[in-house]
This record gives sequence, structure tokens and C-alpha cells, in this order.
Amino acid sequence: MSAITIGAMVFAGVFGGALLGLRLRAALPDPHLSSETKDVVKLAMGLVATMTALILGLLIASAKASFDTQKSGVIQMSAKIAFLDRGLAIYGPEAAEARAVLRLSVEDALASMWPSEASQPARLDPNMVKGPALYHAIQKLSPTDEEHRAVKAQAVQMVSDIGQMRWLLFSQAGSSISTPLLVVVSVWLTVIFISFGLFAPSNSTVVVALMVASLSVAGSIFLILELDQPFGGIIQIPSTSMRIALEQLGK
Amino acid sequence: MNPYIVAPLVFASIFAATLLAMRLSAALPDHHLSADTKDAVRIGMGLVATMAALILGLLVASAKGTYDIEKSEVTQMASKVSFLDRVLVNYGLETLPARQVLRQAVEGTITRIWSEAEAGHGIADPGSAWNETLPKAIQELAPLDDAQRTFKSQAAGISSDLGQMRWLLFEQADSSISKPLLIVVVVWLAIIFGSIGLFAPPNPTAVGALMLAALSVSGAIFLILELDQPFGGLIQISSQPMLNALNHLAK
Repeated sequence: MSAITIGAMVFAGVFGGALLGLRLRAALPDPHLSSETKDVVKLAMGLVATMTALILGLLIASAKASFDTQKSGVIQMSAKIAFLDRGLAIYGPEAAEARAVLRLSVEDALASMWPSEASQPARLDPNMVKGPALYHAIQKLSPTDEEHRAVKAQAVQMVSDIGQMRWLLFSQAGSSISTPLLVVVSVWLTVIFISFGLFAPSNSTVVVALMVASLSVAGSIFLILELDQPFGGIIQIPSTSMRIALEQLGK
Repeated sequence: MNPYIVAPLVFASIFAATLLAMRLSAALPDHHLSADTKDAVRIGMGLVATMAALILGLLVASAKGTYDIEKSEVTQMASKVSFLDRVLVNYGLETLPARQVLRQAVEGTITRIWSEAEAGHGIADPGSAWNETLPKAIQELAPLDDAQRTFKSQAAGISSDLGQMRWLLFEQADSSISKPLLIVVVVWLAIIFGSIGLFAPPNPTAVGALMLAALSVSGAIFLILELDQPFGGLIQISSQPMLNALNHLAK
């Protein structure tokens, strides 16, 4: 399910809870809603609300942190690509073939990680043909002096780093938010909002305020899920760094 | 600690404390329950409640943090496995036995971690596959040229990383939740709910709200214990990255 669908479901559940609380208030006999009851419910729910707010905040922070890690992985990969191309340029015209292969594999990676049509899902699995081709193209270089040997060794190292990063990005693709956790947090939110509705007078200001509050908490769930899939949805890792690297290739 | 046993116990003790306090308030002389007394109790308990909410929130978040770390270790291990296999392919056909060994090591790891945890044994020790068989198979390669020498040293490096990661996963399997901490938190919760119950009017709304709040906090305890055993139970690290790696090995 997409982040928007789940966010909307959470909103519906939480706001539904608030409305249920308002309904319940009308149905319950007056002594049930005395100020004493109100105090009790406020105290108990205050505890749950503090806990939930803290957990939601921390979950967003950790989702943002893992998003940033992957983003910096992409940026590092781009930097290494540009640097590898420079190294090959220094090597000389013999490396022209390897540079052409590098260009092809970067174009291929760009096309599969950031497909031009939004409906197509991003494919993160490394290309099993282009990657080895680059390896072999570089291994085919036969350096004659010390300088060329050093440049070749560096290039081999870079290619292996880039390959490892590519596999790491592929393996990180799975979601880190488990459904049970999400369900538990949503149930807490619903319970809290039922208790809010229970002691609120049913006028439109209250309803609107509760609606905005439910939208906000559903928004935080949406953010967590959105950040959790960095190569899809609305919040995405930009392809800018890779494109800049691609522009630099061959210069 | 089994979350399915501990969490209901926590709920039972918190809710029992609430009901007991409600009973007690009927038995206490009226002047003990004056508005002043109520205010005094509320201030004291407000402090404890905020503290308990903070601690529960932070414990859930930190349990989630450890869970995420172990998850990322599994993904890193999977990415290294795929990359090692690519390196061995690049080396040449002589690496077929080593690749076979790698494949068996991955299959063995998947059974030893996930099947064992499923059966409730906790995760099994790494065995000899990563630390003896695989490095030996790689050491037996006799490189003929520079390229093969590079590939061999790369493969040896990755295989030693893999052995270390596998041991790390095994060592981390122990629970990080201490029993005394849990007991202290549960006692606080029981005290808080008891003090709330002391001033609660005995109507179904108040009792219902207190029950929901007690359910929510025991839900938090459940989450903490569940996240603490990442390879078993309801919330578990998926074996998907490893299975993906295994699929790639077949190619």
C-alpha cells in the first residue's frame, strides 16, 4: 500500500475516533461526564498522549536519518564515478573504451533507478552485464610505467567501491517500518482522540480543530512511510548528483 | 521474556491497581479525598506520569533503533554476499567450488538464523562456513595474473568482513532489556494508575477510559519486548535481502 493510502486510513481512523467520542458524549448519561471523570480521563490519556507523541517524533527522526544515509550513498557514488572518469582520462587515450563503458553503465543506472515515467517502479538491482563489462574494460588496460600502474590500481579500487555501493543500495530497498508497530501506534492515536471527543462540546470549531489535529498526526505517519521508500513516492532522493556526474563524463 | 506473557501480566497488574484504588476510595473517610488532597496527589503523580511516558517512549524508540541496526547489518551482509559472488565470477571459472561454498554458507545462514528463531531457539552460532570453509576455498585459488591477484585479495577481504558480521549478529542476539528496569517502570505505572483510580468516580466511562489507557501502556511494553527479539515473533527482520542475494548467486 502506498504511503498516501495508509496516511488516509490513519486519518479516517483517528478522526472517526474523535467523532465517535463526540457521539458517545451525547449518548452517555450526564453523571458519566462529570468533572471528576474528566480529570481522570485527562490524566490517564495524558500519559498515553505524551508517549505516543514522543514515539512518533523519534520514528520520523530515524526515518529521516536512514533516508539521509541512502542519499549520501548516492552522492558518494556519483562522486566516485566522476573521479573514476578523471582517472581514466589521465591514463590516456587507451582508456577511451573503458570510459565509454562507464558512461553507458551510468546512463543505464540512471534510467533504472529514476525511471522517466513516474508510474514505473525504480529498479535498484545492479545490471549484471554492464557492471562486469566495466571491470573487464579496466582490467584490459596494460600499464607500461609506474604512473599508469598507479592510475589503473586506483581505477580498479573505484570500480569495486562503486559496485559495493550499488549492491548496498539494492539491499537497503526493503521497508523498515513493520505493520504491527504501525497498527499499535494508530490504535493509540485513535484511543487518544476518542477521549478528546468525549469531553468536547460538539460545535463546529471543536470538530474542525480535532480534524486538523488528526490530519497532523496522520501526516506524521505519512512522512514516516514516505521517507522509508527513498526511491519512490513524493519524497525522493534526487537524481541531480548522478546527472551532474554524467555531464562531467567524457570531458 | 515472552512478550505475549509479559504484556498481559503488565496490563493485569496496572488495571488491578486501578480497580483496587477505586475500591479503596470508597472505604476511605471523606476528608481524605478533599479537593486539596486531590490537587496534591495530582501534582506528584503528574511528575511521575510525565517521567514514565518519556521513558516508555524512549525505550520503544531505542528498541526500534537496535532493531534497525541489526536489520541494516543483514542488508549489508546480503549486499556483500552478492558483491563477493560477482568478484568470484570476474576471477574466472576456477572459482566455481568457492561460489558453491558461498552459496551453501548463505543457505546455512538463512536456516540457522530464521528457522531457529522461528522455533524459539534464538539465533544459532555461525558455525564453520564463514570462518573456515569459505576463506579456505578462496585461499586455494592460484591467481595467474595481476587481475586475478586483485580479485583474490578483494574476495579474501570481503569474506573476512562477512565472517565478522555473522559473529556480530550472533553476539547481538541477546536481549538488551533488563528485568529490573522493566519492573521499576511497571511499578511506576501501577502507582500512577492507582492514584488516578483513587479519585475516579465509579462509572463505566471512567473505568473504560482507564482500561484503554492501561491497554495502551502495556502495548508499549509489548512493542519494546517484541522489537528486542528481532529474529522472532510478530515484528521480525525479513530474510528477503538474503533470499534476494541467494537468487542472484544462482545466476
